[in-house]
Amino acid sequence: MVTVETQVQSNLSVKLAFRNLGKTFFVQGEPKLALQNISAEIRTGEFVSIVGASGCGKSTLIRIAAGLEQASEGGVYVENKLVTLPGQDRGMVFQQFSLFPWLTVKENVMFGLQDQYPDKVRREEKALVWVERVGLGEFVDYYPNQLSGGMQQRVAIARALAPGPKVLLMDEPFAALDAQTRSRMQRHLLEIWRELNITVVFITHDLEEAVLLADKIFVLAPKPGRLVATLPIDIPRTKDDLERDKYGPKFERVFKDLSALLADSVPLDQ
Amino acid sequence: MPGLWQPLIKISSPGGVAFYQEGMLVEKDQFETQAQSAMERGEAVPIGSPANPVYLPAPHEVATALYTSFTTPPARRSEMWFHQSIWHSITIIFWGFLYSCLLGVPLGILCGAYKPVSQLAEPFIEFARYFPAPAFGALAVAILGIHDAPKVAIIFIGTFFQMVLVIANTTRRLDTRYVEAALTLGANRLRLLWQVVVPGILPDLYKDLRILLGWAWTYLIVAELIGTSSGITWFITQQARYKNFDMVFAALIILGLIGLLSDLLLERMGRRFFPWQRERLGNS
Repeated sequence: MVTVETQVQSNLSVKLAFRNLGKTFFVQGEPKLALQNISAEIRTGEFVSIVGASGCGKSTLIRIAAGLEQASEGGVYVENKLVTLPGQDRGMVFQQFSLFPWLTVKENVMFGLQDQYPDKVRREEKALVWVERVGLGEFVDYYPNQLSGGMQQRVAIARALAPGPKVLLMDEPFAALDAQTRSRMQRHLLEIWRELNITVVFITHDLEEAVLLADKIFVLAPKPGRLVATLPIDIPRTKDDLERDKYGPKFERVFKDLSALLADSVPLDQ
Repeated sequence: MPGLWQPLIKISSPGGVAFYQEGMLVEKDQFETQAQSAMERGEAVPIGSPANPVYLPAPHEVATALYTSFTTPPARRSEMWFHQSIWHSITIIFWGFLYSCLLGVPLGILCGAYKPVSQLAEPFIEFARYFPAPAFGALAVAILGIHDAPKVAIIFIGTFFQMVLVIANTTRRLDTRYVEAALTLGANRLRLLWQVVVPGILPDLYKDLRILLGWAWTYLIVAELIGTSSGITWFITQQARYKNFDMVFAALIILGLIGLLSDLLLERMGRRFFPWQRERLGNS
């Protein structure tokens, strides 16, 4: 258990940091700069959104953080340790539904628990707790393709969180969902975030979603992908201190600022 | 149909010719010679009418043959009943295909999953798959004898190389998102192979094997002609020699039915094996 004091202390510490991060792809032998000199810090328990026009490298950035791709320069540090490979200290939720279709909901969540709980019964118990936490208790034995997109992404969140990561990386997790499901999922995610006090890095191209959810927004510009602004969101969260009122005047102002920032970041010939 | 071609004579009365039977088809020249000599011997002249050879028996004759092929006892003691011939063919297919799967499936998956393995193995396999399996017939007999072993070997050669390439390709087509999700969940190489790649490709692998099993049947005919001819091929060639074309067609229909039914059965079993592929439950 984490005591209140240590929580307060760790809240001030940097959990994840991008340091002088650059990424060069080689397209048919030609080097192509995808990300340039990105430096930013995310504190423990913070909810950070990364927004940017398509092709600005936001997915690449989070994939490097997950260890699925390597930075060409600099790197991503989690608790001051350089990320080189995927690991259980970082959970990832993908945009594409990526539950293993051959495993049931429960078995999917159990997948990441094999090292921590070699005993299958214990592993099952742990997985059940997570499935119930995302509200799918009655669907434990369903296969993913029997579930709706929203339910699948809930399971994906449970699966990513079960091994107890320090950071939850989310790559446009709700982009493929319909508007109603998306807003339910956003609220659900905030509840989990508040409950676990986990650090979240959330990629989206939906500005409203970013302003609704995040404590801080990183704005990326394309060609090459670079960090052009860090925007703290100071709108108080309403509704049990979670979501923000998206009809309030403050929300509109921030949303306009952000839109302007993003519009400036894209060259006119785009 | 009168008047068209009709190179044969259908005997309606054998007359004095000892080896003629009623209903027999003989060649015109031979009939005339025999009629001539019967006349010279002072015996009854055989009677017959012009007829065409029967290669395409009427459907009802084939239908009858479907039954009689099973009830007709073998002509010689050493020969087999029809059902025994069929069973023999099935065992050849079974063993040939089983050996092929035992080696081909793991090698195919390894080629698909690990690039170095594929770079090492696939050039050889690409080369070897152009060897026509029947070309190995004489060699297989020389090495493995004249009985079933060379036949199993031909089925193996005919399916193995294709199997490795097809399965390697299927393995490569596995969506990378599953591999990436597993990596972020802490899977190591071995678990990636056993818990992601293998179950991930299993339904497609099963479909590949069903198609490859069809190929095994096409190699069966060649395989069974090697060494001592056996099985359903032996039955077909034997019946064709006797000009029992109704039996030949019956055997072909049986082959088709075995193929069709076994594939249907495998397809049904596949639905059992892979319950996650069932239709989604209509909720949104």
